[in-house]
Amino acid sequence: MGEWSFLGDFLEKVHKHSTVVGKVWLTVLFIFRMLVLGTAAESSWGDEQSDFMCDTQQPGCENVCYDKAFPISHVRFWVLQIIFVSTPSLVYMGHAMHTVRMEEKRKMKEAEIEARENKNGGDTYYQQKCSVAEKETKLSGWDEAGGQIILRGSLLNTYVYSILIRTAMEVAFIVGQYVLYGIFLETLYICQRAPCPHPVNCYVSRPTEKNVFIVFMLAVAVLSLFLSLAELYHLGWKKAKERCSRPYKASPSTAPSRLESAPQAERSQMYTPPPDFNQCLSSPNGKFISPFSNKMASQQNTANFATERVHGQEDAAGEGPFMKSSYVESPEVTSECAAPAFPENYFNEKRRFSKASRASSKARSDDLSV
Amino acid sequence: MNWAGLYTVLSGVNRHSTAIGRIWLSVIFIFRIMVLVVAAESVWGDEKSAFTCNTQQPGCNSVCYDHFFPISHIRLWALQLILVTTPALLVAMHVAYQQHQEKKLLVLTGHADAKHMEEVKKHKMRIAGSLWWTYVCSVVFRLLFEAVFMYIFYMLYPGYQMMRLVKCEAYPCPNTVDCFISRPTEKTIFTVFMLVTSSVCIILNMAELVYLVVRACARRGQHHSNPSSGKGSFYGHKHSSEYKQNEINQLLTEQDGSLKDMLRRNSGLQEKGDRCSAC
Repeated sequence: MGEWSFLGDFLEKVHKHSTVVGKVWLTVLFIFRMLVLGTAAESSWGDEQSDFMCDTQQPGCENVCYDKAFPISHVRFWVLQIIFVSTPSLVYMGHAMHTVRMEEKRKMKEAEIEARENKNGGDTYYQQKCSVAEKETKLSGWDEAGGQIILRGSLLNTYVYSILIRTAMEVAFIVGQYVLYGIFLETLYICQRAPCPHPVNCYVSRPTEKNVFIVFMLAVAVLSLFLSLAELYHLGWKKAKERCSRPYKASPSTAPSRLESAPQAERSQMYTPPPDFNQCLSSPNGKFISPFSNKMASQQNTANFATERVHGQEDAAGEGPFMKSSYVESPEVTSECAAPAFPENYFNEKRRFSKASRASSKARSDDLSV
Repeated sequence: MNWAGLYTVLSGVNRHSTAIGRIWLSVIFIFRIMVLVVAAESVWGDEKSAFTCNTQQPGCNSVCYDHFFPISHIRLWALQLILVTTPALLVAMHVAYQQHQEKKLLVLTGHADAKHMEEVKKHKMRIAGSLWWTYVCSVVFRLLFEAVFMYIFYMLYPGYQMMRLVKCEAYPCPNTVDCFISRPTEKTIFTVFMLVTSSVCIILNMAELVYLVVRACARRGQHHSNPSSGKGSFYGHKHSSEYKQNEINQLLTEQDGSLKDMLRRNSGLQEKGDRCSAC
C-alpha cells in the first residue's frame, strides 16, 4: 500500500472537496480497490508464471503459451484501471486549485489597492501586508469555515466532465476485461503456438482463488460505475433546478424592499407557491439539498425557507427569484407541489414543525456546496 | 528504491513552479514512478529466471540473456526518472538562497521577528531575474535527459517492442539457439505506456519553456513602456530599489513622525512600480 501513496496523497485532497457521493466513490476506490489489490490480489497472482505448467518438454513452449493466455496480467490491468479512473478527479482538482488561486490573487490585488487608499501614516509596510492577507482570506471564493470550494460555473462543468470521463473509462475497462478474459478463468488452457509442436494442455495456477478476486474486482467496478452515475444524476438534477429558477428572476432589485413591506401588508392573505415551486428551489445559502424530492422533504424545505426568510438572508443573489415568487399569490396550485398554505401568523413562528423534521435535508459541514 | 524521499524533496519545489511545472510533476509521480513501482517491476521481475533457451549447454542461457538485455528496462527507467527530476533541485537550491538573502535583509533592517521570518519562508517566489534563468536551465536539462533516454531506448530495443523469440549465437552456445523471452506482450504494453508518458512530459516541458519565454518578453515589454519604474521591477521584486526604499521609509517613520509626507510621496512611486511588475 505504500507504493500507492503517491496517488493516495493527491486523492486525499480531492476527497476533501467532493460531494457526498464523490466521497463514497473515493472511499470505495481506496479500500475496495487499492487496498485489496495491494494486499491480497498481488500475492494471489505472485506465482502466475512460475506455476503455469504446460504438458510438454519443449523449451520455450511454456513462455509463449503463458504470453498467449495472459497478454496482460489481471493485476496490472487493474492497476492501470485505477490510475485511469482516478485521473479525471485529479484534473478537476487542478482546475479547482487554479480557480481558487486566481480568485485569491484578484481579491488580494483589490484589497491591496483598497488598503493603500485607506492607509494612514501609522501603518508600516508589513502591517498593511498582514491586513491585506487577512482580508484575502475573508474575501476569497473559498468557504473558510468549511474549507470547501463552491461549485459553480466552469468549475461545475469541469466536475461534470470529470465524472463523465471517469464513467467512460470505467465502462471501457470493464468491457476490456470481458473481451480479454471473459468473466471466469478456466483451469485448463489449450495452447497451439510455435515452438510448441502440437496443441498442448497448460494449467493455470490457483484458478478458483483468482476467480474470487476477479468477481470481487468486477463487482467493485460496477459499484463505482453506479456511484458515478448517481453523482451525475445529482448534478444534472441540480442544474435542471437552477435553469428552472432562472425565469423567476424578474426584478431582484425590488425584492429586498418588498420583503419589508410584505409582512405587514399581506399577512392576512393566504400564500400558496406557484406550481412547480418545489422543483425550482434554488438554494440561498448554497447548501446541498437532497434531490430525492418526496413530499415530506419538499414540505420541510418550504417550511425552512419560510422561517429563514423571517430571520433575514444575507445572500440576495440566489434568493431574488425565490423571494419574489413566494409573495405572489398564484391560483394554480397543483397537487404535486403539496406545499403547505401559510397561516396568518406564520411570520411570528420561530420554526415550523414538519413531518420531515426528523429526516433533515440539511447539508453536513464537510459536504461540497453546489 | 526510496521514491518517497524524492517525492518529499520535490514537493517543496512544487510551490515555486509554474502551473505547467506542477502538472509535469504530477504526471511524473503518478503515471511514471507509480506505474514503475506498482506494475512494471513485477512484470520484469522474472525476466532472467524465465528466459529460456532451447539448449542444454550450460552458460548459454546467461550469455544470451546478457547479449540481448545489456541493461534492463526497469533500471533504465529508474535512471531516467532520477535524472529527469533532479534539475528541479537546482531551482530548490536557488529559492533557498534567495530566502536566505531576504532573511539577512530583514535582520539588517531590524524586522527579524518570527512573523516576518515565517512570511519569508511561506511566500511564493516570483520566477524573475536570476531565478528565471535557473528555472529555464532546469527545464532545458529535463528536456535533454528525456530526449537522450528515448534515443538510448530506441538504440537498445529497436521499435520499442519486445520480441517473443530471439536467436542467439554467442559463445558457448554451440549453434544458433532459439531463446524465449517471458511475457513479451505485457512488456510491450508497458514499454509503449512509458514511452507515451515520456512524450507527454517532453511536450509539457516544451510548453513550459515557451510559457516562460513569452512571460519574460511580456514583462520586458511592460518594463520598456514604463521606464520610470526602474530596473528593479524586472530583476526581482524583493530586491528592487522600491522595496529597499520602502524599508528605509519605515525606519525613518518609526524614528521620526514628521516624515509622513515623505512616505506619501514614496507610496506614489510604489504604486507605479507595483503596476509595472505585476504579472
